[in-house]
Amino acid sequence: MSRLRYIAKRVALSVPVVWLGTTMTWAIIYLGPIDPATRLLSEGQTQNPAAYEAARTQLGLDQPPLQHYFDWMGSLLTFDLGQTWLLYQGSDVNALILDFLPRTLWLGFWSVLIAVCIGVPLGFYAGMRSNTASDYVASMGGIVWRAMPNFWLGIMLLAVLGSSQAIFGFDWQSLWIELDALTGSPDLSRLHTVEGFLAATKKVLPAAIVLGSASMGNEMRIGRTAVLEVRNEDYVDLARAKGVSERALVWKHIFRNALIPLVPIITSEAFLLIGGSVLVETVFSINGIGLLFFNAATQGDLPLVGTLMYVFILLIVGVNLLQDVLYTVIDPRVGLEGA
Amino acid sequence: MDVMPEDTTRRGFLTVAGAGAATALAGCSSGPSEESTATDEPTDSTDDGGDESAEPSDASDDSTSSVSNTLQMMSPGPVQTLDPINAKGSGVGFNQYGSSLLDFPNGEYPPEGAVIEDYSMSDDGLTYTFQLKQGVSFHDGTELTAEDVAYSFRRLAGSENSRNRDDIIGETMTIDHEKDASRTEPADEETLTDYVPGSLAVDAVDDYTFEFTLASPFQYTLSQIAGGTFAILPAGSVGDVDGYDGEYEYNEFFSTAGDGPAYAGLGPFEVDEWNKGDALRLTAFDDYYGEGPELDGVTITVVESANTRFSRFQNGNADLMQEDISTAAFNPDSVSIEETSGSRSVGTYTFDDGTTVNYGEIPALRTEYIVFNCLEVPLPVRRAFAYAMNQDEIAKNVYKGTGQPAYHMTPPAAYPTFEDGVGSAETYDRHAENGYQSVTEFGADGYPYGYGETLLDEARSVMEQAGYGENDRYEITATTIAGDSAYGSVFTRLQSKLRSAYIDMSIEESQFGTIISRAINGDMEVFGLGDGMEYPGPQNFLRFLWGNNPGSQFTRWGAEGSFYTEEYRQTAMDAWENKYQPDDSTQQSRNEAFQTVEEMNWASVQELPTVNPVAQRFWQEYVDVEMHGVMGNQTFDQVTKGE
Repeated sequence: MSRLRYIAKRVALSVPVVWLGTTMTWAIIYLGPIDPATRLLSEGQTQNPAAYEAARTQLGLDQPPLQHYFDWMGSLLTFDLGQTWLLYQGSDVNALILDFLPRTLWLGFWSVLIAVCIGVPLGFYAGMRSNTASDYVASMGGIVWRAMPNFWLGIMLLAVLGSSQAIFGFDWQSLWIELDALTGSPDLSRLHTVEGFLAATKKVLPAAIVLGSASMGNEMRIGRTAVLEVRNEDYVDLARAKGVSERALVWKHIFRNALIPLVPIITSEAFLLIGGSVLVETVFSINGIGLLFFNAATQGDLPLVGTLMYVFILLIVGVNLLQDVLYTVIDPRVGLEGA
Repeated sequence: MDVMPEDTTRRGFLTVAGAGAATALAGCSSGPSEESTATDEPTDSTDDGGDESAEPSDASDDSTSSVSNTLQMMSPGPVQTLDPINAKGSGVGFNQYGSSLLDFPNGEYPPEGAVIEDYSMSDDGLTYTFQLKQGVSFHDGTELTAEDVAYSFRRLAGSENSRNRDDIIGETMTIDHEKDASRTEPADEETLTDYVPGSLAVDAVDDYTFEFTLASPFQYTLSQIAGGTFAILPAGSVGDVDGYDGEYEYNEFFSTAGDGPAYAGLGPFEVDEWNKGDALRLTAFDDYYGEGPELDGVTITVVESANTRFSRFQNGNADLMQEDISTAAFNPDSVSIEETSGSRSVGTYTFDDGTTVNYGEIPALRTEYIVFNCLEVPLPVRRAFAYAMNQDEIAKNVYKGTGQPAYHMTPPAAYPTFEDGVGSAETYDRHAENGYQSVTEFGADGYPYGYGETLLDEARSVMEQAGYGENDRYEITATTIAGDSAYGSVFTRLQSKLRSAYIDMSIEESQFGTIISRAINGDMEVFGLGDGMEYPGPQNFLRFLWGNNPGSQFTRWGAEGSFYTEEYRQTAMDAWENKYQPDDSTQQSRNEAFQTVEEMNWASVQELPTVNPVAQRFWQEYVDVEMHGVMGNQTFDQVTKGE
């Protein structure tokens, strides 16, 4: 079986997943208990049946369900769900997403970066010094870190930073760069200036640490195990016997080989960030995709929720696909024979 | 939400962890109630606790706002749209960047001319003619002409983007037009979307004369067109209505597509920057038609949590705070009222640290009430509820004084009057207290179920007469709005009292949107609701209570198989049909009709009012602003900010 056929098969298998996901989204909102039309009623219209009917007509909710479903799926395919219903009504769904996406990307970028830059080195450090006191400290830290739920950690961090003056003797908010408030969206319009970049970074830093915390712990644990495993491989012993210097041994033989199991871990955690960002953005009041999605879902803004779900589903399926492909690249034994 | 299901636990946790703790709860529970139509006004302390994002942070905010001459405001929810016909109600910013033909000076009723010199009404009360002021500029520099007004009205009636068609071609004020039932489904029924494009009876007679003709006379026409949905835009700005090509794409004019928003209105401030979800920045418009503006700009920042808004204001990071004041943070004992004019009270508020700010309050055109489904709940049970309820105690303890006890569906400011020199609020109070100007036997002695008191003996006896007793109890389920603990407390208070009147009530929660659709389907027994008025006319609420069309009303009063009294219904219908509806009805006869319907609602207890909430405003010492009137819509063209 060729690699191309393997990939083609994986792609074909993802179609029903996408279909099922989007259909469920539609069914939950359209057939579920949330009635978006009621959100359109303004003061004095609450008890007015005519206004309610008009709202339903306007949203197309009075169509037969199947017709609505096919229309909706059709426009979803072409990424054209038109205007939102309730949030920023009248805005194009796609334009609205583009308005909110940068803040989430900024948050995601830092949380992945922090997780990778802290988790991986720490894991390698612990692996190289296995069963020493520093390994125990690092390992314990990794487990505890990983065990803390995002939303709880976020609240704690906010509480601590909010009273940093009393606890640490310095005020986080005015440290280095003055922030207008502890929580809120980063100002991405001044990213090209040094000060603007630092301010935007400082603003998302607590949220990024929280969002990256779970993956950080994961990467640490897996990095440690990988290093430990590679360290005990025969070829490491051989290299050492050959007289390879300790430095070359670590960086060339151990480090590179230990990275292999980490690559799929990092890619698969990318979509954890999407799910996690909903909570973290709510806690830190960052107006990103997560918060937008949460608001759209609870109010039943079908076009917006649908498009976001569609994007999320495509993203997750895409990442999975990429991961499958990466496996076959990194380790040719994977997938091909069995598939 | 599973984390801390009980209020007490939650509160205890908060004191330990700081208010930041509550943020996650908000994420799970209250969510985006920015502008739910009914009731998210006063909630008691425990709920507001669940809404917060990190007060500690704001406590250390350094003030940056008082430096510039820009007024810093906050809004509980994001500015959703700049399009007047698409907006739901009108927000704080609306009166700053937009203007209609008339406005409410300082938010006071009645409306006065804004961009008009004069107007006249034809003898039959149908045709209104307006003389526009000359030389009035839009933000884009073009001059206001009658064609712009016609365009704005046509968009409201006919644009696919309009969500306020009901305001112009609906049931209340109706500008003459044609409808073709076959245009949209259902094909055999005329709905708002069946409007025939171009058929609206509006006319730009010449450049400065605008005219429209109503289908039938309507008393509050001028109030209606003074509302935010009738804001005027330059003709042809967007092409979403027949006969106009549109200079801009919709999202370019009203939203942030391209170089947008290209929005141009008539208000004293123009839209500078709209950062969705975060802030709307307005700057002074130099060619404003009126006097002012004195400020350089107005910035409206979104701060979702009521408690955070409160602490931001306290720290001087906002110049003015109104709308949805945190009941948890608000301490009624810190208010000192210095001056009362009409229903408006102005004074000061002193924070715990001793700083003093200005404070004003005015009863809003709003009523909170509970609705009975008369298909399910018999009259004696409804009356037992009324006897058991003590509005006075609810206003004091649940609403912490930010609401006044309500005995009528019509709020005091809109209550009909009968004698010169006796105003709306006074008529309201006296009618409830001792039956002043009552028109039926039932209202002769005032509110029959205990004015400011609980009458449990009466509740018991009305139930006993109906055959209920210790061994034959009545079971009922009450539905409250999720995230609004005020209703929760109202029902909890009733629950224990009703137990001794042989009524076992269980309480369930439901989302606001779900409550409305369940009310439409009639599958609840009793539930809490609240509603506001767009103009001070009792018909806003009373049109749903006089027994007409019972099949589609929330109360189902008078529907086949419902528990209703034919005599009461006939009295209400006679009054409405003979005294309110006829074209030759007078203000006096209409007021009698309103009074009759109110008293028949007392008799039938379809809806049981609880409180009329009060609108509050806080502003810093250095801000010079008048307390707004009952309409709330105030333009800040005369507001100044000193040191």
